[in-house]
Amino acid sequence: MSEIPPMIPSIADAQPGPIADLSYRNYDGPLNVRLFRWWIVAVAGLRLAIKKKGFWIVAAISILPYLIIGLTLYLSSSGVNTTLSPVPVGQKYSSQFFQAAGLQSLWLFIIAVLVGSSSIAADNQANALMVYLSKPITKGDYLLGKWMSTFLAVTAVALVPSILLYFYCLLSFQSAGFLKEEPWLFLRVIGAATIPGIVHASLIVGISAWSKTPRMAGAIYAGLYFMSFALATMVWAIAFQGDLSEGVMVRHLAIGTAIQGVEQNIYSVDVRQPGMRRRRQNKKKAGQTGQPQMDLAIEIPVPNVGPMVLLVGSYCVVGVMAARSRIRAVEVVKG
Amino acid sequence: MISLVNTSKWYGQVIGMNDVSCEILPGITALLGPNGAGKSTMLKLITGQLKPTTGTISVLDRRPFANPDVFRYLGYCPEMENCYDEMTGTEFVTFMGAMAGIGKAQLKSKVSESIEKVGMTLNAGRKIGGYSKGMRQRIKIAQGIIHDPKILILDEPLNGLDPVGRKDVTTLLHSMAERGVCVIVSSHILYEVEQMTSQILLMNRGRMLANGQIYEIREMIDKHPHHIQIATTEPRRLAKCLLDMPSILSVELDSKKEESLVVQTRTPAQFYNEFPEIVIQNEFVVHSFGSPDNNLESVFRYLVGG
Amino acid sequence: MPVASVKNLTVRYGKKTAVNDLSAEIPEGCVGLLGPNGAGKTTLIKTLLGFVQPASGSGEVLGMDVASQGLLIRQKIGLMPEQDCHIPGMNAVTFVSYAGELAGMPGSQAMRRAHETLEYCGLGEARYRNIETYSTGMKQRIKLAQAIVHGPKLIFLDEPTNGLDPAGRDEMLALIKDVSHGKGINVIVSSHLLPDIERTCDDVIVMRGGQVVASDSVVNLRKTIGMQVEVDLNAPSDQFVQVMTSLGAKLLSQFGSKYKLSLSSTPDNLGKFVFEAAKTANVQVRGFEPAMRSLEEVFLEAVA
Repeated sequence: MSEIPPMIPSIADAQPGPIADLSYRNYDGPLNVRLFRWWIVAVAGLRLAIKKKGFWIVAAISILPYLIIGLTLYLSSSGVNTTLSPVPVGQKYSSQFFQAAGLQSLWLFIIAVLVGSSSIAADNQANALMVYLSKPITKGDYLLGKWMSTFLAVTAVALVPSILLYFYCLLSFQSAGFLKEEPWLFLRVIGAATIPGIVHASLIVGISAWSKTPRMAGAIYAGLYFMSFALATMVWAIAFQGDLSEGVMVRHLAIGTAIQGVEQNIYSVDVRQPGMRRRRQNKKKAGQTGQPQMDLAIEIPVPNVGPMVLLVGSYCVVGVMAARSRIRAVEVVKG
Repeated sequence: MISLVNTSKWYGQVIGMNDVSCEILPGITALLGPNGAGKSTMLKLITGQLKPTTGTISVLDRRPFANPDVFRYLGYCPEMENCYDEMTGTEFVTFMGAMAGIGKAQLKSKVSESIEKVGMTLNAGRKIGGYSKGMRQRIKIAQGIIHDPKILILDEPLNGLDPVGRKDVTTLLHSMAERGVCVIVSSHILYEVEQMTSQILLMNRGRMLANGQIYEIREMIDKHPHHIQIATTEPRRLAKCLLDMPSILSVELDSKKEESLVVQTRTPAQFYNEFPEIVIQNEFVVHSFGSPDNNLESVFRYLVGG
Repeated sequence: MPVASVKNLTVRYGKKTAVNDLSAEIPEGCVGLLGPNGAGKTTLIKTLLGFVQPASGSGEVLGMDVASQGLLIRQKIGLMPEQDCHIPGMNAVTFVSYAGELAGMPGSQAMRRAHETLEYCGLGEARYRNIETYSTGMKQRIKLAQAIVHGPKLIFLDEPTNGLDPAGRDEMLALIKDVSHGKGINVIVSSHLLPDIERTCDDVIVMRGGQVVASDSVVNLRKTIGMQVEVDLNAPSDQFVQVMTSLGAKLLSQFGSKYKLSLSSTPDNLGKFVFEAAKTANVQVRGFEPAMRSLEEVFLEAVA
């Protein structure tokens, strides 16, 4: 098929002459097959997101954790005494990356809400599904496209600063054994950066599909996110007063902490929570002021991979299935 | 029944209605105008939802603003659709009937009566949320007529109804008008309005442009001479004859249609007197003749402009 | 060659049968789809759009099977829905080009075509504003634009003049008439406003209770049995009726000063006939024409 649609003369006397024939012609050009229809939906969603000022502000803030970690590493390498606790070999840099990811988690959540809450909810408000209805696009394409826009936004914001930090470390700490000690770090960084994207996209797409307005979707997700965190932490603290490291799985039940749990698995690091320990000590021995952290920190071991993946996986599946069941306009009626 | 005297209403800087004076009598009156003309302002003033900024409006010799007395005699069927989805049709009409002041004893019979009038007896037990557009329209009309109002106001009453439904509602409105009810219909569908009534109230940009019978109004619009289309086998010979008539302004031959010509005149009555003689005397064969703009659409177009 | 057709189509939603053993052919050109609410029009359109797996029977649109090639069909057709709908956060240009891309147009073509169709639909500078600020008329226009942007051979218009004021309605109908004649696009219009259909469509299909009860060209359907004439007088006149009756005519209906009569035979010169009768009755004729049945009459008769 030719690129330029052919001229269809509108009246009998459309002879070539000085006056151009600007009458309407129907499009006769090429039409692609369905393969990447979801990409068009995703790009449209992303375009909407990057227009928002809030997106760029939060993205900028999300760089800060990695900047801080980079600074810390730089200072410690220059011999300044920092608060870096001693970690086993092979975990030195991983633990820093993991920490930065943890610091970034709130901002990634905000990005997810900014981009994802309106993804399907705004369409519900504007009855956009009627427009999608008549196009050669399936429910799956639509859903995948919406999921992708949130996933890409969150992952990009997570990935860019971490990759930059990685290259900084690569250049600066090559001699200090950066590559030798932690050869898989690059893959871990990329892997960990995708986890928040996957979880947030799945959940918010499900919530957005069931919400009438973007604001409601955002509010519901924020509520779920913070409530689950509060609940999980409370149950963990109360139920496992004796030994906090026993009930680590419980702590990882909340959305935010589940993400962290999987990231911890990817990075394979142990975590120390000095702050928690101080409070614990106060409860036991009243009157004694807390010691500054260093030794006797509570270890939060890497939560079991199996249950962690299962948990996170089920969150994602629930989110996506919820969205799927709600998008009714583009369905096929059987019988 | 309804009279406005120098009524104006503005919202901040935006003018809703500008110095309108008119009387609306019993019978069906069509309220017409482009979007934003001031029709909804007019209706809100009549139903007492708004108070005029200047001037007076009286409905059944009372001031309508926030006057529950007036509501007893007023029936209102607004355009909006989404409301009371949880109620069934019967519940909704009962509710509105009770609000209109119908006593408990009569309520049930009045409800079933008005539901029957709009043809919703079969579906009145279902929830309004499941109604189609046409059904919602009907139930809306039912609640508007349940208390036998003296004034009935309808905004796009035929919206969503199929042709059978449209006919039914038009018949219902005609019967009410015959009983002396003042029915005001606001609509964009001009040909339907034409079938209901020839009394119109035309507004544009907050001003009233015309109030009266369509034909009278048409005759008085002399800025636009009347066009009369004639289908004949000998257009050119007829044209020559017609040009002798002093009442004719111009004769135009149609390039697309072989056997047709269009005549312009400022004095159609005179033309109608003289034309038959010319046809009979000179044995012209005429298939049809008529003024395509003797109708509401043309009146609308000429007065609203554009 | 029909543009679309269904054969012995039966569609059920759960236990309810929407259409039963329906066979219909949609001819080329501009076709009006009429019928009371619940007649099965929406089901027929949904089937032709490829959204329905029929319980039995088959359907074909532009040579493609509705049951198995739904997606392909939707690439070749356009739909202008009745309800208000748009994609949030876009202006007209972005919206129409997005619609084009969703239909499979390459990005470069989509933008160019979006401008072309918006121009055709009469949207000037307003196309760069956000859709949420548009009036009803403009929203209807962009709904039409997104339906034709990807060059479909068949478009469905559902109540295209919904909510438009008289001027807007006029323009939309002119647009529909133009699109369906000479641009290579077949149109199916579903509307309750019969004069709209009269103005734009060449053929009409009337449905009732899941069946087709009438399917013919508008011209044929409106033909009267025998010669009928509509006469418009300056005032009602019984004398005129008397004179006409004595000449062999029969009074069919009267609305104010408009009379509809059927004649016993077709006169050679209808004008002379009417004018002479009017002269005898001493009334003034304001207009007369050979009467056609209005589409409303056709409809009411078909669904009665």
